[in-house]
Amino acid sequence: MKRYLILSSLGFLIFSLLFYFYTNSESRLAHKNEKMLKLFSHAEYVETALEKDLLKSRNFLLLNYDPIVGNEFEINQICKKLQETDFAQYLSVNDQLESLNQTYCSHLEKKLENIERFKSKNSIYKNSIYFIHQAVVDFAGSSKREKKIEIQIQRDVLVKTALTYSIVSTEESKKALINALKEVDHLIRKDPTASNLSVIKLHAEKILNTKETLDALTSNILEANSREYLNNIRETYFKSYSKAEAEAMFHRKILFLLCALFLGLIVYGITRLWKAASRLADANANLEKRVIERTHDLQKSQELVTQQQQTLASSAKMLALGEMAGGMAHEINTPLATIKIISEQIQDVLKEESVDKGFVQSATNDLIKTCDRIANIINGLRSFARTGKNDPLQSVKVSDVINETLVLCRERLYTNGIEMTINEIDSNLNFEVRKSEISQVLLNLITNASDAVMSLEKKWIRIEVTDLSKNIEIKVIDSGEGISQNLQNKLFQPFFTTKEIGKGTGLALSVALGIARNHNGILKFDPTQTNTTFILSLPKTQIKRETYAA
Amino acid sequence: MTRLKVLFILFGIAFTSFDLAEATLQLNGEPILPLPSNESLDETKVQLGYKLFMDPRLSKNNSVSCASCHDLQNGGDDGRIFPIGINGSLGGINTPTVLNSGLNFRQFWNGRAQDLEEQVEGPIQHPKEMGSTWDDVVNKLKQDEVYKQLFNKAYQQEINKENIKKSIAVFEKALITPNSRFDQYLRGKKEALSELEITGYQRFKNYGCISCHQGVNIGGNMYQTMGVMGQYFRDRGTEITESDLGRIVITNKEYDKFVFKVPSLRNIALTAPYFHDGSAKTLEAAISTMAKYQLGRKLTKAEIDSIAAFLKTLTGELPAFLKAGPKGLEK
Repeated sequence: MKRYLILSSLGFLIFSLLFYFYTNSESRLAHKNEKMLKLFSHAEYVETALEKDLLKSRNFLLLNYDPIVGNEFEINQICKKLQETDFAQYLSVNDQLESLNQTYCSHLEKKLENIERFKSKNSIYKNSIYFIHQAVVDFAGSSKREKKIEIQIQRDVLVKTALTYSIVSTEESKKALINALKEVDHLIRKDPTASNLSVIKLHAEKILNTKETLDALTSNILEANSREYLNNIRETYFKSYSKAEAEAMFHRKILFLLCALFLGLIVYGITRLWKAASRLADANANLEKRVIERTHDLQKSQELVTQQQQTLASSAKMLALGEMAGGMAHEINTPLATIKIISEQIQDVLKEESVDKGFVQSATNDLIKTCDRIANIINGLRSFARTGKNDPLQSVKVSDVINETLVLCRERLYTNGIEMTINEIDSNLNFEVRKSEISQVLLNLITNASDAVMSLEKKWIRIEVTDLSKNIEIKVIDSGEGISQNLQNKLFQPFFTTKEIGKGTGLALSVALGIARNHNGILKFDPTQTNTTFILSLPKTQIKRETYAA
Repeated sequence: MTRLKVLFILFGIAFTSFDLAEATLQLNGEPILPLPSNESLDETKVQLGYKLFMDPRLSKNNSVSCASCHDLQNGGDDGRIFPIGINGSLGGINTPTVLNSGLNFRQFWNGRAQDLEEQVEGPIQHPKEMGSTWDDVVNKLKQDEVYKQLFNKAYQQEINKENIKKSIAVFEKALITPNSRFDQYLRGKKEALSELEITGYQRFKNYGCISCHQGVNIGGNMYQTMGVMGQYFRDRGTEITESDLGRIVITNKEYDKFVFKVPSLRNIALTAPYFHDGSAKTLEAAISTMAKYQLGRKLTKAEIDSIAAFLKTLTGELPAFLKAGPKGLEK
């Protein structure tokens, strides 16, 4: 994320810098362009002004060339600026522009040169016209001075033709003036005293000479049409500039888009980072609290589970007890009946006069025996019923445990016609167990076995006890023919049962396994045997360990 | 009657062919304008230019300054036919005045310099005038701490050729001589001129002097051939020098032979002798010669005197800063 952010901001930085420089140079270009356009329009304006001033000074006798000089100066400045302009910045057509520029500037220079000549010719011309005017005004006085009528007439003709030519310069008026000049020439040669006439002649000649040059210069200046060249430059320039501008616009768009893209990436990255950071902070703040809560919950549910397990285990035991209750009643009823019969016999004997002491003695012995028997049953029952998990480990005889368990279910096996056999057990064989728990395991195994063989033709259960030096192995075998492969795996899972609903809890084997493990022993199904065989293997002595594994 | 008719036709055509209002304006106005009285120029640069103008170090052997030939107190020229440069060498053309020279459309008699800055190049490097080189001048000025500081103050730059030229040009542009009696007259103070002087002005206009000597500088805005109505150089009798050829030297065009810049008539009373060759010793002689060769007229003494009287009213006032002398570094 960090690398991504750095890269995108670097990109943004680079492109925004590019964008900045680009727009900067572009605006400088635009600024220059504005200047150029101004220059062009200024050039046009000055040229127009120049021509206007030129016409003015041509058409009036009184004149002041300062405005023309001012315009000339401005045009010179424009020429300088144009020549200094670097058209290369306007890309492709700079060569063309430069040549156009040169043509225009040279035309301007030519024009200015012509204007300079025009000024001097114009003043000569005006001066001569002025002189002729004065001659007209002076006619009255001078004619008195001039005695010769011929000279007077020739002078009049000369003045008239010169004035006419100066106003209307046609071929005719020109011819007339030339003729008049010839006549005057002729006259002067004849009469050198006509000095006044010769001065007029000089001016008339000047008019004749300068008028044509002046007209040529003026039309040259006015028709020079440098503005056409100017327009040419302007158009070419404008075209190339707009082309460059369009290109620039395109580049700017791309740059702008790239900038925007990188900016967007940065914003996206920052929001991602921001979110992650806030989540992290949140998680940090809540973590401890949650851990404590979870731990608490866990402890609670753990407790509940243990509690429920215990309840379940005990209820399973109670179920087994309930099932045994019928058998129990019979077990207890039989000795009770014996006690009743013996007691009646003793009463009968006591009715007789001579009491057979020997008989009473043996009868009461029987009574006591029978009472012991009942006490035995109740003892076994009680020891089974009590929760044995807190009992201390006791070294007991294996035969005792098996016998006491069998007492509890003998009646049930009998009523169902199940044959129960036990191999011979060494009466000195002891092991260190919690009696009631092991008894529960055996009872569960036997109950399961009896349930399994109930519907079979051959109904038998066999208990085999083997001394394996360190361990005692108790096998509970029944006449059933094993358990199918797929069921074997589930056998010891809690709540797994093959019995009808309501008949089993599905806990018997799992509870039994738990007990076996608590005794560091093993409870397993032996799949190698043809008949269904469960093996409970327990060590003879327990390693001293007071804690009861949960 | 015919004569009057012709006149009438002439003016009629002249008037109708052009805008009447403009024509009236033009005819009512005078062909000469008064000098502007205030020029806004950079004071520091003007003072620097003044100092340079007075400094003989601009010449090869530190003997000649600009002011050697352009005596500001005496009409801005040297009062000689031809100037005397370094080592006493004699120049070939009459010194034009530096006063009001900024108003001339070109510089030098033949107009070879476009402006004053370009003009400065001429005398400094001319072997018969100051005979120096730019490297030399710049090196010499760089030795001077005062100049260093002045240039730094005026241009924030080191001393260089361009800045020297610029400074001198700015100073020269400041050499305007306003408020001559004639200018006062133009501004409406009719009593500033005597009757004779006014008559002189009328003749100046009527005889055609005005067709070349017009505008704010009374000349200096066009070229004209020396000897329009007569052959001046032939009549002069002396040998034609290179200086006499005029603009043809620059343009190489036949029609520019004997063509010169029309000089300004401002302060003309102070700048004798006259013409590019200094051939006219007095104002009256100059007027007479001009009338003959430029206007094709022969003027009477009275006419010449009145025009001379008019020309003498063109002497203006020197700028105030010239009286104080060039300033150094004082703030």
